Amino acid sequence: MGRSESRTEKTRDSSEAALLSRLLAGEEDAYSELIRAHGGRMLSVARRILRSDEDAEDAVQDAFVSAFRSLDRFQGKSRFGTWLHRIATNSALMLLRKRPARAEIDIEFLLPEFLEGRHHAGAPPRWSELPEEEASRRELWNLVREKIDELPENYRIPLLLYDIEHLEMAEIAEQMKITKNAVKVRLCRARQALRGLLSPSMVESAG
Amino acid sequence: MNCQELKEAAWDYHENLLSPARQAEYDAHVASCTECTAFMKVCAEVTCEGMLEFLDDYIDRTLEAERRAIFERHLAICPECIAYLDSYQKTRDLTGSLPDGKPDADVPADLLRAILASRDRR
Repeated sequence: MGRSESRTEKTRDSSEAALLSRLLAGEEDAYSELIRAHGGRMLSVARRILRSDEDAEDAVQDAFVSAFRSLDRFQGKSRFGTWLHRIATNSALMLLRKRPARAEIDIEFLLPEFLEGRHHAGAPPRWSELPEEEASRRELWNLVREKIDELPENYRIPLLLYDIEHLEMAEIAEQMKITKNAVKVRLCRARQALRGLLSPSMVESAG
Repeated sequence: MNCQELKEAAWDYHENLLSPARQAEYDAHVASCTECTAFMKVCAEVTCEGMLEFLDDYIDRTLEAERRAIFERHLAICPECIAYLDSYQKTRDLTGSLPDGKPDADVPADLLRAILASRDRR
């Protein structure tokens, strides 16, 4: 199995290398092939960041323009998919920064409260076990997506990039132009705020 | 005051919410009980608010041994932190297992054309 996986890897490597040569030679078909192969995934990423189909298309167009410009610097050290995912994320974040700020909730109200001695002000409600059944899980995931969207951008973005897009902490820091430690702190606060938003639906008495 | 009563009153003691008489009973019990003296030390090691800082490192098992021991000693005496940690971990489980949502869409034809056209304009 390992050997067959390695053969698949090699085939992919050589087909990517061939595509890169065709792109560098300026073959029109190669550009369409690259867009068709990766554009769908890039659109999904951009849509998750921007929450708008129209803006996601703009971000993907910007991403491809920027990718085409730097094709000669793409050394094939990473896969096209990984490289383009990073560029699409960056384009979407740039577009997000340009968009007028939306009204945002204050997450302080979602974080736990402490007494003067820094002990919990009240007992946090006990959550029920997460459902294992597929339909209930799916329903819960929809709720989680909805609640993630309610988070302020400064917290929604690190959560999205780390937990859903699976970017490394250092990469998120670079994309967001903040330190790695700031990403870590924001991620923890984002999860705490999300916990606060989900809690009313998750407490044991709510079934 | 017995050991169980002392543990139940521990946070009120730290918040200075006990009556003077109850506080005196508390102090007297701690002075005569080695187990409760150890318990009081744990209470003083880290506050519930301080625990928040280490939630992710604790779950990811990246907390250094000494801090991990402090974290676990606190959990052993604090049902509130156990409940909070449990709900925080479940939140992480939910976001970490979240599927991508809509499957990757095909690239709409007009977008494909627009991208190729913007390449031609370079």
